[in-house]
Amino acid sequence: MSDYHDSETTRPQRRSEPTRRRVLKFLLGFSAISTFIGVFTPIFGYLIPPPAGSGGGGDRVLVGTLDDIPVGQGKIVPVGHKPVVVTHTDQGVKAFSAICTHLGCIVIWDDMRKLIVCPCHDGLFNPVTGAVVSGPPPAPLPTMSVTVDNGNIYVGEA
Amino acid sequence: MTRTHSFCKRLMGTVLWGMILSILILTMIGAELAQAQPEDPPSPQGPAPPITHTLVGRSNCLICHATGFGDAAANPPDHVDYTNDVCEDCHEAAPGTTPPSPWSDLAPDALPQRIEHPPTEGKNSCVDCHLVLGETHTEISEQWQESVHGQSDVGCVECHGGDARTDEMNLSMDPASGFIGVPTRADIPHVCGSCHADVEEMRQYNLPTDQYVKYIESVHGVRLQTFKDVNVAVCTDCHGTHDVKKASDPTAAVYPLNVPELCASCHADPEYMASYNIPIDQFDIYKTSVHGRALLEDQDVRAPSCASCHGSHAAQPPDSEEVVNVCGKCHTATEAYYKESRHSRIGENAPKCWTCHGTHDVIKPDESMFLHEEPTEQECTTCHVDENTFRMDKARFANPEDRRCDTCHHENSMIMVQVQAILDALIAADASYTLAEETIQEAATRGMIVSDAENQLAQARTSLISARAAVHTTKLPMISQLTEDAIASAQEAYSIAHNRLRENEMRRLAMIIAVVVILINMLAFYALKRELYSQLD
Ligand code: FES
Repeated sequence: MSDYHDSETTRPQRRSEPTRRRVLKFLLGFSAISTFIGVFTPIFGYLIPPPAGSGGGGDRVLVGTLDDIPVGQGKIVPVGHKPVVVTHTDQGVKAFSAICTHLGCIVIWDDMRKLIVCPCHDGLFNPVTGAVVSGPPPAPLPTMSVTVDNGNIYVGEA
Repeated sequence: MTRTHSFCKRLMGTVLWGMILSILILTMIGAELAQAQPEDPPSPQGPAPPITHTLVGRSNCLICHATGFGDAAANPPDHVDYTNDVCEDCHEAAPGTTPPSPWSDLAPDALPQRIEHPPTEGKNSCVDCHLVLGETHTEISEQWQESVHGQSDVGCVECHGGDARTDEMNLSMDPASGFIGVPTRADIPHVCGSCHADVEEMRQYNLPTDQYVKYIESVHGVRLQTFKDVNVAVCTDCHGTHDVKKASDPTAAVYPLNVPELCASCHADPEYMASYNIPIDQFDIYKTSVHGRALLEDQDVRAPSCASCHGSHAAQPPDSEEVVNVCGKCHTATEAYYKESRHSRIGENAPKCWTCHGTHDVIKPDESMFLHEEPTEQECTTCHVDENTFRMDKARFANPEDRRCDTCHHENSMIMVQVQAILDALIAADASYTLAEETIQEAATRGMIVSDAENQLAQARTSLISARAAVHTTKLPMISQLTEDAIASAQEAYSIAHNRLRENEMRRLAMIIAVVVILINMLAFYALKRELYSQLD
């Protein structure tokens, strides 16, 4: 009787057990896989970076050599995603943001006048200090830090 | 009857006394009035003695003559109520007491000579006395002390002459000591120029010395010199008299931000300008212009004031021929482009800056400046004074709405085909730029890094602004090249920003999936917990 009763009471459990177990296994399996993906995706992402750069951090960037920019010359170079004007005068190598402080045009190096020139409204900037020489720009070009190592020119944020 | 008679007697007595009293009062008032009317002084005993000293700089006779100060004759008793303004009604200045202007013989092209006076020996007796005389005397003395002249030890005698060493008025204010008193308006440029045109003198202050020459050549100076018009501006009207300040002092009337108002103080005054037949609305128009707003609202001292285009000491409206150089002084890049244009090669009759941009009413230019909204009807004489000359009719361009390419160029002309092509190129570049800019802004708002797109946009901006400036060349190939560059850079910027937006959407989707996954995991752990507990039971 008791066996009967036992069998009566346990039968429905037995019947439902495979279904519950299966669901539970499925859930746990899903959990294990999603955890694995969640942990390893960033690691793979780090190991295989996207094609676009990071946008230029505070790190210094090699922009050329002293031979590329000899004394009396200037050049616009990309540092990260930002254009930078590097000048080489008697007073050394200097670098400034190449974004004009008037309306944000990109300046150029004027080899005739030996000045940094904004082509939009003829704003002129001093190649040694970045100060406004003439024209509408209201402020000097922001300075960037420059280091010269073994003839290599590195530029970073000021 | 007796009572009536006595009443009549009393009444007549009262009337009689009243009449006597009235006559007495009227006589007293009459005497009083007679005394209070110095314009009709009692007939003197013989002619009034002439004035024997210079009147230059002396307007207060009573300061000495009321009591007979020093060797001045004391007023007779019957002058006791006389005021300063009636003295010269009877007393005439003796010949020679009013010295002629020191510059009366100045040749038109000569510089004014300095006022000769004895050396000051570090003294300034003028201020010692005038400072304590009260009212205007004290006021101007204090102003001088605070002024740039007072601070630089440029004493009263440099402008008024006289002997600064002595307190003796007759000596210090003696024409023999070069005393000229208050200079006439006609003499003021000479007074100021006597020092300010002196290169040796001005070197120590590092001041220019050409203002006098410029002034004499200016429209003000010519009117003053040639037409003896003393209503025109002289140095003191702009710089002040005793209170002269440095032009770099923001409280000075000649400080750049204050110049338009200074000029308007005369030039916007209808009464003052009535006899000159010139417009008086320039200041109101200028205030709303791109230049006026930059100077007066943004307080940008680099923005042009009246003096930037008309000159200050050399004030003169620029000639139509000179306008390109005047504007080009600041708009250097645009001037260079204009000089490459066909317009500039037409010469004297060419459209100049004012033809399209106006003068006092210059506004921010845009693509609407190309064509009228409605096609226009043109004859040759629409723009040219007559058909046989190319001379432009200025009045035709007075209205900003009429400063358009199709104001002059006929709708069906070859030139208009080019105008339309330039306009289309600019509109296309502007549209690409705007789309890229908006997309970048949206991506930035969603927290995406867009510095690379911004760099491309800066490149597009450089080409677009250069293309707009290059419109002054009227050369389609040059403008098209620049607009194409602008479009290429703008499209690159747009595609970067657009990709960032898609990336952002992907990330959002990924986040939703991650949240769902987390919920499923939570469900799994909950189910596992229940299973374990049920096994324990
Ligand atoms: S944007 Fe550089 S001068 Fe205007």
